[in-house]
Amino acid sequence: MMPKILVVEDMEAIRQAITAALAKAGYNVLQAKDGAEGLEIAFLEHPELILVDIIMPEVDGIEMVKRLRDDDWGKTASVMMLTNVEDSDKIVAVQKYHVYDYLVKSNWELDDVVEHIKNKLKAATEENS
Amino acid sequence: MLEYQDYILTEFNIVLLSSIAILIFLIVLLIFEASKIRSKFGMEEEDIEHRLDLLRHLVGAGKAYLFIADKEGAVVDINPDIQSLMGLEPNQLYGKDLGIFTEDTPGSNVESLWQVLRDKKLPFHLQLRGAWKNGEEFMETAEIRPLLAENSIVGFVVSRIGSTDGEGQSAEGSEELEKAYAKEQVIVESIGDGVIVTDAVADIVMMNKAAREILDTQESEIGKSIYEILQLEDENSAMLLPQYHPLAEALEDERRVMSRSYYIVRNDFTRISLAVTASPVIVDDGIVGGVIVFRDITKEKDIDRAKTEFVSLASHQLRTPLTTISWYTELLSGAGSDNLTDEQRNYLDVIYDGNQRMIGLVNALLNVSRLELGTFIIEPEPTKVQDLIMSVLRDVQPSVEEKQHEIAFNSEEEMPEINLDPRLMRMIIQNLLTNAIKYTPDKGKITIDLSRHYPDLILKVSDNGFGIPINQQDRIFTKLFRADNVLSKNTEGTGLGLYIVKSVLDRAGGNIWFESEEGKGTTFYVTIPLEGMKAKSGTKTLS
Repeated sequence: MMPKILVVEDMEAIRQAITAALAKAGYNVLQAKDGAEGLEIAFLEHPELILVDIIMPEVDGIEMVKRLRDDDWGKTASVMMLTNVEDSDKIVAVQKYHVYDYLVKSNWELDDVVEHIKNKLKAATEENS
Repeated sequence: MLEYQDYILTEFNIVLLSSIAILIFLIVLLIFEASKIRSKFGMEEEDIEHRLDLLRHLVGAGKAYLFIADKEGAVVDINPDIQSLMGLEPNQLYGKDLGIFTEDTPGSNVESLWQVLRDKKLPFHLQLRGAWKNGEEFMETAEIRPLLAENSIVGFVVSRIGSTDGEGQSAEGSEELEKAYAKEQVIVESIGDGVIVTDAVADIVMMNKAAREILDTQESEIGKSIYEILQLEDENSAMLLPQYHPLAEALEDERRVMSRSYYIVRNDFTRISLAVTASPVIVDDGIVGGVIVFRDITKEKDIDRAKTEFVSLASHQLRTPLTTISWYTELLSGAGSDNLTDEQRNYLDVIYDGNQRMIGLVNALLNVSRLELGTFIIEPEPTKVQDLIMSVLRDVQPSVEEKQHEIAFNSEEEMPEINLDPRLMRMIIQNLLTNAIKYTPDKGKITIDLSRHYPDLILKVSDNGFGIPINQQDRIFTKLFRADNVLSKNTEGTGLGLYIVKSVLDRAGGNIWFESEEGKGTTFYVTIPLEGMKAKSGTKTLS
């Protein structure tokens, strides 16, 4: 079965685009429109990878990652930031929660984002086997 | 009693004025009689020369002398008129210490004044006290001036300085001088910017009203060190060491030092930003003091900051719609694009390219705001510059092929790794290379040379392209500037690239310059210290 990927993004247009590209690549895509919804779905579905935006209403990306790491399953869940802010204090903040993939959306083509995700999941599978 | 004293003083004045004439006469006489004197008194030739020297000094000083002393301070000569006024025989004073006429006055210690005189060889003023032959005591302000021969003290001259009793020509002259001085004082006091004047060792000799207001002090702080009164901080609230104080630099390097990036903490603990200009005061090739002019630019900086922050915020917000356009054009020309006509596919490419340029512009604006806010980071790490160049060359390959340029890359073999920020260095290389590609007509020649010229690494990027018009060469590194000759040929480009490159190099300890001739081509040179870029902490990386 293809891996499950959760996309946490408040801008619908962006969320739909990345969902479409990932679905085309054969992934099973779940969507959440903010951090709170993202956490809910993540704890329920245990996806192989969570893509997280930073600036979102209610629970933002950094807060979501923080709460995720408090959970037994969540503390080792695979997370990738996909955002348009690139302040180093944000980059450092998520590194504190062991998130090292930090992609600036406007600088990445959709195809390259999908490629990057493929490689990451492949590396994770090889590690586990 | 008072009238009698006045009478004596007036008489004193007349006598002193006439003594100048007597002195000149004496010189002529001395020169004329020099040989005779020698035979008569058995004086050594040196002694005569010495006395002549003294007299030349006196005439040069333009003052009537009272006493002349030797280098030990023992009286060797007395003005004959003073002798008679004081009713003294010369023998009574010769060899006596000048100190018998001097005494401490409030705030000045004669002993320390003598010490200063001996150390600095500069004249000083003191109160001279004595008695006339009628028993009346007198107090006079006198100047003690060292007599110098080959810069060592050979004696002292004590002369009376202009009286302020309002009588006589010299008194009027000094009144005018005082008026002129007072006028200058008022002008300096009224200047809207803070002005502090110091002596050559940076001790304050004057401070105007604006300076006191900016520093929030009631005192004029005269005599204190500028480093103590104007304690400057840098952007990171680190106290500037005295040797890096702008006035210290101005005095040390004999040049004007200007900066807008200093801060002070006032007595009420508010932190304000200052624009400072420090200049040495030079008289006859020697530094005699310094002037520091400063003004509070906190508000200007706040406005500037607000503007830059707005650009930063707006740029971040712009990224979201730009991402949407970029990804949807990509989706459209990808899946299901079989149904598109060539014309439609072409339109999508145009949309995509335009959008990419907008993303590039937003990135450049964000970089500019980070540079201007000072929030960007320089993180040096051992880096192979050749590898960076090769990687940029791969990136630009499509546009090189499109324009059919010929690119050569020459590098010194065995180039060591250099401690620099690879992201910034890549950005510098990318900027110079894309400019060369963009601003060179098709089938051009571009050469990259990497070499070491101790203590720097030199990167040279040359092309045989359009060149930069000579009358615009001085503006090439300014923000948003684009040369006329390329504006008409190529509408791409933001006018931010070289500004960013220069700003980064300025902060990283590097340098950039160019040689260019319109129609022939341009060569850019970048140097970076072989010991590496200067690290800089901050909160933002440049993209």
